[in-house]
Amino acid sequence: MTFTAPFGLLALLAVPAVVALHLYRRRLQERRVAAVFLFVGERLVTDAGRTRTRLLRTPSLWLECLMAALLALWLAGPSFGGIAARHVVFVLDDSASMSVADAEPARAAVRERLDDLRSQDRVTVLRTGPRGEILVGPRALPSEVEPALADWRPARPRHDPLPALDLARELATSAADVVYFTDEPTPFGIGEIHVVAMGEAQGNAAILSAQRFRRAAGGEELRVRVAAYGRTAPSAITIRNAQGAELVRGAIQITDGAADLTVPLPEGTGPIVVELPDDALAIDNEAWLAPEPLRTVRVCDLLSAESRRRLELDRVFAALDGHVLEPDALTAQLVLAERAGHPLAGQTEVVITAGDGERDGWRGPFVVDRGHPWLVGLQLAGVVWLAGSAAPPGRILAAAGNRALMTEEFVAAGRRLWVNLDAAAGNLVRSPDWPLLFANLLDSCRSEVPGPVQANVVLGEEMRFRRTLVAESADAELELELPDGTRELGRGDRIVGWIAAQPGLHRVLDRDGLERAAIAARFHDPSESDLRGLVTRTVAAADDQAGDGPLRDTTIERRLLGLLLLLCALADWWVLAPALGSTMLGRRRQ
Amino acid sequence: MATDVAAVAEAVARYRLGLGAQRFRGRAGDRRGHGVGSSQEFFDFRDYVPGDDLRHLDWRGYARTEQLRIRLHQEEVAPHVDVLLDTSVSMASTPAKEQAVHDLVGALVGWSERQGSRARVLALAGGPLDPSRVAFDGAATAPAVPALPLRTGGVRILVTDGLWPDAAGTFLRRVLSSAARFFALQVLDPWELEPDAAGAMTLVDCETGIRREVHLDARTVAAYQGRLDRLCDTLRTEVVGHGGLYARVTAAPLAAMCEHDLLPSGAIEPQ
Repeated sequence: MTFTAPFGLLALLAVPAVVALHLYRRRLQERRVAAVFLFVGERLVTDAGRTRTRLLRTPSLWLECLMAALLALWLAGPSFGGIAARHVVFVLDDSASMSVADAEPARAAVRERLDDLRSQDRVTVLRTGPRGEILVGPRALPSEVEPALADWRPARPRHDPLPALDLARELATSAADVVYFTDEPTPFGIGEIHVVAMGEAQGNAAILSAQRFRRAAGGEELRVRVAAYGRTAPSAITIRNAQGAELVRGAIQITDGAADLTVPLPEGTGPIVVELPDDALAIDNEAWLAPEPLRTVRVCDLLSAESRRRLELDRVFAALDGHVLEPDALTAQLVLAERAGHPLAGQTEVVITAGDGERDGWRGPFVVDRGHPWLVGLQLAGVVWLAGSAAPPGRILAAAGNRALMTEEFVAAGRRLWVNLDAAAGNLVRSPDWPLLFANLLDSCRSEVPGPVQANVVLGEEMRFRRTLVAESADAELELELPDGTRELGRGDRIVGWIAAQPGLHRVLDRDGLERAAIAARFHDPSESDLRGLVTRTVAAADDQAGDGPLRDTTIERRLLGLLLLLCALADWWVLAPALGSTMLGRRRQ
Repeated sequence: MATDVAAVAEAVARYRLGLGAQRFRGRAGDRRGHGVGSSQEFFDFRDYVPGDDLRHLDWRGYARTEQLRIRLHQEEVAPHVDVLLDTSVSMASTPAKEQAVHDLVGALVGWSERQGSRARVLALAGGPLDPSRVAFDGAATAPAVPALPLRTGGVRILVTDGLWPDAAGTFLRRVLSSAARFFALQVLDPWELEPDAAGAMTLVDCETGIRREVHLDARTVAAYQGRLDRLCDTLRTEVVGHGGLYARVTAAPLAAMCEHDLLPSGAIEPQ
C-alpha cells in the first residue's frame, strides 16, 4: 500500500488522543432515580476536575480509535494497488522547422521530461500531421521512446497540430498529461495542455522553387529561386548529379530577399540536386529534381493496308510525334481497327468503319462536341463525309442531320471511338481536321502511358506510378526505395502511390528489382523556412492537476474509507446516543 | 418480584379499607347503596300499585288511614373497587419501592375481596392487570386514565409515586369524577424522600434515561426535598380538594406501611 499524502498519517496521533480522553474521562457513581427533574438547578459537577481512571474497553473507545485511524488513512490517500502508472502523451510538432540543429533541442526537451517519469509510467508519443500519428506506444514504457526519438526527422510543411492534440487528449488520462513540443507560439485552443516551445529565431536561406524545363533546341533548363529570411545571404549554389558529381557551381546575389538562377542542362541529364550552403535549416537547402519522363504513346495499327492507304494514316502519324508503333495490342495505349475488339483498361480503340449498308455523303452542317478532348479544335469546314447508314453505338460526338458520325463507347475499363467513315469518297482524310483528331487522341492516351505521373513532388504529396496492368508483367509488384535506403511496397491497382515523407530521390523498383522510374521529393514551405518567428517558451497546463508527481487515482480507496468512517460514526452515535441524548435533553430542560 | 403473601394476608386480616359512610354502587353486599333494595333498613313509603308484593304492604298504616302503601327498604351493595396502578418504570426505581408497591396492591385487592367487592387492577393508560404479575415498564412520563371505562359510584384507589414533571390536574379530575370514594396513595422510596448527601454522583432518570451529574450535599438535598414537598402538596391538594383521600406512603414492609402511613391517613381501619 502506498500513500499519495504520507503526511496525512500524522493524523494517527488522534488514536492516542482518543485513548487519553478515555483515560481521563469523568466517571461518577451512578444512581437510578425516579425524578431527575427534581434536581434541576443544583450545582453540577463541572469543576470537579478529572483524574486518570482505569481504561474501559468500551465499544465507544474502539470505534473512536478506528475512526481516528480511518481518518488518518483517508488523509494520507492510500492506494492499495500501488502507484498507478502515469500515462503521459508527448506530441511532437513534425513541421520542418523543428529540424533545426537536427531536432536535438526537441529531443533534449523530450528526454528531460522522460527523466521525470518513473520506470513504470507509460508514454505515448505522437507526431503532428494531417492526422495524428503514433510514433511510440500507445502506453509504452519510457525506455521504449529513445529509439523512435532518435529516428524522428521532422520534415512536414506547416500544418494544423490540433488533430494530433485531439488524439492525445483522448489517449491521456487528463489533458494536463499532454505535453506538446513545438517551436512556435502556442496555437489557439490548447490552453489546457503543457506546451514546450524550444524554437530560436534566426536567419535562414531556402530553395523556394526548382524546376526543369525542356528546351525546344534540346536539353533542359533549370530554374531555381532562392529566398533569404533574416540576416543570411547564401553566396553560392551547387548542382550535382545523382552520383554526387558537381555539375554547376555558381554564385548568387540576393536582391530583395530572393535570387533567381537559370542553368542549362545538357540532354540526358539524369536526376540532379541543387544545394545551398549549410545554414540553420538543412531541409530547405537541398532540392532534388528528376527529369520528366518522355511519355511516348504506343499505337497499334490493326487496319488493313488498303484502309491505311485510304485513310492516309502514314501521313498523319508522320506529322505527329510522341508516339511509336506497337505491334502488340496488349501494350498499346491507342489501337486502330476496322472492327471492334477488346480494349484493356486505359486503352483507347478507334474503329473506323461505315458498315455494310448504303453510304450517304454529308456536306454539313456538322454538330461536333468540341468540349470533348478528342474533338478539341475540329471545325469540319468544307468537309464531305461519306458515312454508312448504320448508327454506331455509344454517345454521339459528331453528327450530320440524324446520322451519327462519331460516337464514344465505354467498354469495360477502356474506351472506343467509332468513326462512321468510308474513306473511298469524301475529303475528310485530306482536311486539317483529320490529323488534329489523331493529335487529340495521342494527347488523351499520353496520360495512360505507364510510368511516373509526376517526376517531381514536394513533401506531403503523393508519388504516383501508373503501371501496365498486363498480367504477370514485372511492374505487377512495385516497391519504392526511399532516400535512406528503406523500401516501401506500393499499393494500388492501376496507379500505385506513396506519400513523400523524405526529401531526396526515390526509385520505383519492379518485381525484378529494375528501376522503373526516379521520383524526386523536395521540401517546399516558405512559412517553415522562415525561422524568424520561432520562440522558446514553456506554458503549463491551465489545469495542472497532475503536477510533477506521479498520478495516483485513489478515488475508490478514499470512497471506501469514507464509507467505513461514516459507518463507524453512525455506530458510535448509536452507542453514545442514549447518554448524549439524555444529557442534551436534561440541559434543555434545565 | 413477587408479592409477600404472608404479609398481605396478615394485613388483610388486621385491617380493612376505610370506606366511610358514602353510598356506593356495586353488587349486593353489606354497604348502603344508592337505591332501593331488600335490606332490613327502612328507606321510604310509596302508594301501592297492582302487582306490588303484598308482603311489603304497611298493614299498620292501612289500619290507621285505610290507604294501601308499600314499605321500601335501603339497597345494600358491595362497592366496585378499581385500583389504578401507575406502572411506570419509576415505580420500581428501587427494589424496596417495587416490593412495597407489589405488597400494597396485593393488600388492596385482599381488602376489597374481604369486603365482598371484586377489585380490578388497571394500569394507567393501559388495561386490566393480574395483581400477581405486575410489570413496571410503562414508558409514559405523564399519567393517563386507563383504557377501560371506570365504574361509577365505586371505590377508586390510585397507587402512584406522583413524580410527574408536568401538572396532572386534568388527569386527577378525570379519575376523581363519579367515584364514591377515592384514595391517592403516593408511594415513595425512602431515598426519594431523604436522599443521602453522598457527594458527586450521576443521576440517571429511570424513565427518560436523562443523566445529570450533581453534587449531592446538604444544600442540594434540601432544595430537592423542598421541590418534592411542593410536588406532593400539589397532588394532595388536588385530591383532597375533590373529596378524595391522600396518603404518602414510604416504601417499607407492608405492616410498617399500614401502621405508619395508611392507618393514620384513614385509608384503612382496624377490623
